Amino acid sequence: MAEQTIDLPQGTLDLLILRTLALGREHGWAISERIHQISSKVLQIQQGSLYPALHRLERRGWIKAHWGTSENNRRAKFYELTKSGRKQLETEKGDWKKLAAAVAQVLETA
Amino acid sequence: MLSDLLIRLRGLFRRNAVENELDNELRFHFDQQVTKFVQSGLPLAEARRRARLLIGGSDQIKEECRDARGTHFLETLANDIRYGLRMLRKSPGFTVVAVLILALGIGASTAIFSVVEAVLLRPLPFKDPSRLVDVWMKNTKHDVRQGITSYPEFLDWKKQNNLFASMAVYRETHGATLSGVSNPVRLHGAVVSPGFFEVLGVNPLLGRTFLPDEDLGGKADVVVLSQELWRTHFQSDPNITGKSAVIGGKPYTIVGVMPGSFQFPILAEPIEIWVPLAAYDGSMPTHRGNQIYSVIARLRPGISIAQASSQIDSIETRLALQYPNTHTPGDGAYVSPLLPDLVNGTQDALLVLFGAVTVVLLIACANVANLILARAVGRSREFAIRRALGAGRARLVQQLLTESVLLAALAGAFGLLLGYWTIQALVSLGPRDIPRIVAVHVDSYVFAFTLTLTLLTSVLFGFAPALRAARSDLANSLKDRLPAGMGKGGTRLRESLIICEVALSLIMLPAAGLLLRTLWHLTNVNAGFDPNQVLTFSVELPSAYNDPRTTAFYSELLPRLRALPGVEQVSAVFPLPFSGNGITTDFVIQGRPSDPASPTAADLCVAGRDYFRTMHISLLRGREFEERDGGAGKSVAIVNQAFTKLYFPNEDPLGKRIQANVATSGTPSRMSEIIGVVANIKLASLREEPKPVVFVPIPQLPIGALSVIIRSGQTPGVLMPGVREQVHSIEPDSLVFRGKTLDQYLNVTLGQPRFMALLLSVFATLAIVLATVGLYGSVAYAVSQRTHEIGIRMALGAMPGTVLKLILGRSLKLALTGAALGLSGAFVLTRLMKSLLFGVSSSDPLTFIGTAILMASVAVVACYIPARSATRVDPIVALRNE
Repeated sequence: MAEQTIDLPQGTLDLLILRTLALGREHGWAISERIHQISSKVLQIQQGSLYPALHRLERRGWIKAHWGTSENNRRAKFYELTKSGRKQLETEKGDWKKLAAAVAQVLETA
Repeated sequence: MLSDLLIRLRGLFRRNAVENELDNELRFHFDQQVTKFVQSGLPLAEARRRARLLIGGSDQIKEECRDARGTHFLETLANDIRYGLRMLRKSPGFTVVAVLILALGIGASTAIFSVVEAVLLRPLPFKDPSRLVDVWMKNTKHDVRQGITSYPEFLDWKKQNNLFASMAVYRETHGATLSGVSNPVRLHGAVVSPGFFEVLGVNPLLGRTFLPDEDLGGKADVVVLSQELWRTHFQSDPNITGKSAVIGGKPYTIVGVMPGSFQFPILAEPIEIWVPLAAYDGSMPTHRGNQIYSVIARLRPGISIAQASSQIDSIETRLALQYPNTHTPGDGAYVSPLLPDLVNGTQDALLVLFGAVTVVLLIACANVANLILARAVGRSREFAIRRALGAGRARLVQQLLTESVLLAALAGAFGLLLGYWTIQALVSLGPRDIPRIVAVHVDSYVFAFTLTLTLLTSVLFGFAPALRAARSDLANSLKDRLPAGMGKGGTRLRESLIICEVALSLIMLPAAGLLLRTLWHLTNVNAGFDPNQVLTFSVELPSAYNDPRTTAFYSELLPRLRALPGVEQVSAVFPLPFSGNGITTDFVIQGRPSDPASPTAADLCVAGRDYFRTMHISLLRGREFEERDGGAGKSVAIVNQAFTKLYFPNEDPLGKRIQANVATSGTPSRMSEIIGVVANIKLASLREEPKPVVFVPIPQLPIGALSVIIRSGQTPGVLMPGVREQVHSIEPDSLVFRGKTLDQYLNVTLGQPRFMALLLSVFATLAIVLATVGLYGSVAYAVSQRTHEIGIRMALGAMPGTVLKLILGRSLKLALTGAALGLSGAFVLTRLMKSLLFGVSSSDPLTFIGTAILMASVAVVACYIPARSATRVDPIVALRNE
């Protein structure tokens, strides 16, 4: 079951995490699974990048964490978006769209 | 970023909890992964293996998470602090010396800053003090800058302006006697107009201040007490208001007590009472000619000093034209901010002191930096091993800086303590004529200053050595031989520090030298009279005494005093030199048309017979006043040399006739014949240029405020009882006050220069000692580093002289470079002290050459001692070190 994965450009992971959490609170595992599914199994977030990113976002105040119970009744750490995180998501989304459009345009014309 | 801080702190203090959570979180993820593999059909063992492969090492992830949480920095900081403390404990000699040196620098800076803060920077304790201003008369033609005014003039200003929210006048009085208490005392008071307290915006502690109708024409026999007077003389009576106090023989109703924190005008001696001018000054406020009041005002919001100045100037220019009798052409007025006016006289002195302590602190930092550099040599292997084990340079710099901050923090704590003691000493020794010096204490500003200073110094002395150590060459350091890290660059850094130390101390030395010479000049300046062994005092006579009775009193008292045992000469005078009083008036010279544009002005002195003999003032021509002078006979006057030089440059003044433009009790003064010429004397300041003075005998201008002067070999303690007895035997209701020697009056004016010279000498000594120690240490270090080389040289036949030259040459070159830099710096910087100097120019060659020679000799000695030890190196021993 060789899945095709690509490397994420720097900073994109934060955007993906924020976007995923915009749908509701989740624990780390679910975040990585959801990104995997939504991206049609193209994006696979490694644990080694996911958790440092989550802790970094928490420190910046964009997400906050609390312990809760998972669907299979285990204690898990859930993350949710804060108000400033929501704002950050909007900015990053805009930035990303601009960047993607610009890159696409360059690729088309060059 | 509050969340940031909270997370960092939680990471630091709840480390276990955070680590546990991290464990749990990662294990959850792992388990989920395993479950997923199991669900896809793998056996459990295989699922685990796969999950472990996929996820990778959990320790690395944890480390990255810790980094992401930012707890890493704080954790290493805590480690560094622990390690730093251990290092400082391990070398107590270094720690004690470094802390001591820095504490001296920080302590001195703290003390001087606290004075600067309390005197120059702290806002006045009044409501909205930035809007408080002085209003002065000025006369550009006669160079009158801070002229005071009369009450009618003030009322016109008040009426005609629209830029001041409120205005008031005040003057100081020493003349108020409080009687009707067990021990009558002279009070220091302020005579004020009714709106005085409203201008300052300060409320009384008890009762009320003055009402608007307690002014001329109203009933105003009321008084406000200071808290101190209320405490000492009225036992803090809570029901004091409404009670009566007898002041100057007149009953006043006490209406209020001001809080202890309130003082205005701010003078060397605290004000004890405030009285309305309507009650205290009699008819004085009604004359436009009585320019005796200072004006204080509060600007309306949004009005600038310049706007107010320009309006008050045009008002005064108009008034000068309207009242030509009491004004001279060129009269105007202006406004200036209150606080700068108050501290004007001490600002330069304090800033020079502040500069001096800064220099001392910089030298201290250079010294400690040198110590750390030398110590870094001993630790170079430690640094190299750390580097080899993977510590980054930044990490090493962080650790060394942490040690510096610890050192500085220790020094800062001691410095604050040292500063606290120094402040106590400064306040008790400091001259009283520095305004607000009594308010100097360690407050939050001073504390913040010391804290900032401590951090700043740690960077100053710690940064360069830390960078140096971190840049060290790994390979060399790990070999035993080359003491590492301190290659060429280290030597250069150490040598620059030495140059800085010598240069900085040579900035201090001439400054201190100039102030010492100023003090010497001031103490040796010829005042024109002999202040030694002269006792002076004043007598307050009951208010019933009129002019003739006053004259009669003194003509009876003086011969009696002369008869006292041990008394050589006795006389009386007003004003007494250096008492702070003075009269300046215009004169008419007979036969000369008076020119209003350049009036004949001079200081006026009322002197008794034998005045010049008693004061030891040389009589140059003619004769002294005698018993027959001043009465019904012809009027006479004696002038000084300056007067002659100015107004009779090519004529013989004897026999010329002059008339002073003053009047007492309505009798105008008469044309007086000049009967003598005396030498110039200083009247108010040792620094002043000779001023023209006219002396007239007492009966010609009877004045109540005379000072009696007695020349006697006896001490005041022996003389005073007899003096009091004589005064009271003539008038039992009189009061003898201000019994002081003439010396004491002169000494007051020497207080500030003496204080400055003392402090700057202390700082300069500190500077030179630190620089010398630095120089010595540096040469001794260089010798120890080169022992091996010297051994080889000597084994190859070098003579001790050559070795001495080798070591001494380099060090002296450094010292000379520093000296040259320092002297040029001093040459520029001493110009800033011009206003503090007397009798010596700010670039006085003698001082500069002298201090340079002093520094050079000290430097030679500091270099010679360790250099000589180099010549005693035994080649065999030195080489065996291999």
